[in-house]
Amino acid sequence: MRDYRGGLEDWIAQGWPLEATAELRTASAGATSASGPGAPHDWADVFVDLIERRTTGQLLQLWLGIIVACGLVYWLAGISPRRTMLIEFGQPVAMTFGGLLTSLYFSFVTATSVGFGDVLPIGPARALAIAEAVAGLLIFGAIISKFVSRRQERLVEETHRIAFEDRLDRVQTNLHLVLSDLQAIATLCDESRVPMARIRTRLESAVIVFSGELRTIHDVLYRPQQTPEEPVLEGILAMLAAALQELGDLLACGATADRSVVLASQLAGMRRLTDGICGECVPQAYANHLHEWMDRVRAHAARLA
Amino acid sequence: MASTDTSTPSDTVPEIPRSELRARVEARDPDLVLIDVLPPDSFAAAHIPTARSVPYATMTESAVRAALPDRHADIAAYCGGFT
Repeated sequence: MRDYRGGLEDWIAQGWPLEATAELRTASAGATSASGPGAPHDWADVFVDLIERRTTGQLLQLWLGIIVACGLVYWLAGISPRRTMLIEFGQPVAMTFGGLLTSLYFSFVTATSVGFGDVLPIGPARALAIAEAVAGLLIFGAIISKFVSRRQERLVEETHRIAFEDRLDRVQTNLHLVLSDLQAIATLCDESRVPMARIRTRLESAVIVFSGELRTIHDVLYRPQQTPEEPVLEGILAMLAAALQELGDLLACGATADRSVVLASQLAGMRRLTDGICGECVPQAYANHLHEWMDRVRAHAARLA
Repeated sequence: MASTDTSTPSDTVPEIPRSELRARVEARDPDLVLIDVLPPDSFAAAHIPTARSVPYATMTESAVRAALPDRHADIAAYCGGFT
């Protein structure tokens, strides 16, 4: 077992090819094709998957559809008196409107597994009634579980949203700190009294924080589980552009001319990330002014190399 | 892997260099099983070619076993970025 430490981000940063799938090749899907001893586990997964992809309304429609369809079958079987499927009070259910209502009533009573027993299935209707009862119960259970998990899903969503906002808040705060620190370093750089080594370490640590936040922003743009609100994103991009500009100016200052290995590698990483930040290269379309900010970010970053 | 000053638990797992990974992915090396531990929607959107999805959140012994039919294969895993 080995770890590809750079991860997807590093792979993307190298500009190497990626694949995307419409359908998920998850572990369970892989096991299905292998058809190993884990098979019972898999059909349950498939079933759960099927239910999860349907909305509550769709399931309800399916459930009602099955009941009505079965009711019609019980009723239509009465076309030929010898093939009657339902018996009520000892008499076959007739092909009348009343008979249709009785058939539908029997269908509901069966599908909900109530089974009053006032209408009885005979012959092949028994098999159909059993199948209907099983299917009806399963689907009804799925509907109930949808209702139950609804609230939970909303809570999870809320948690994700809060975590996401926290993350953006942190990015903003850190960008502000980086920007003000870069400015402070720039003033130090102009004064020749301060030792170079001190300036250099301070610059290094600021750049490390900066590149971490840049990575987060890149992430938000490239793998958006959620899209930030426009003004928030604009603020972040504007601050990012300002900080990149400041950093570019600072690197031009003589004291930072010889760069340490750490600084050089951080800057190279930042260049790779910002290469992917521009109006046309981000995978999602944003408002025009946001694209302009992205272009400006890339233009400022071009000076870092 | 070479020991570094900032030793974290992840350092106990040896690293696969990106050049080696790239070469083996390109060659479709059957002896390499590449695992994407990112969430399924991320995997669907983009993943390294030949990678299999074993989302970290659902990483159980049975899921890993199912994803790794060959126990003797070389396994490499990756997530979002440098962590």
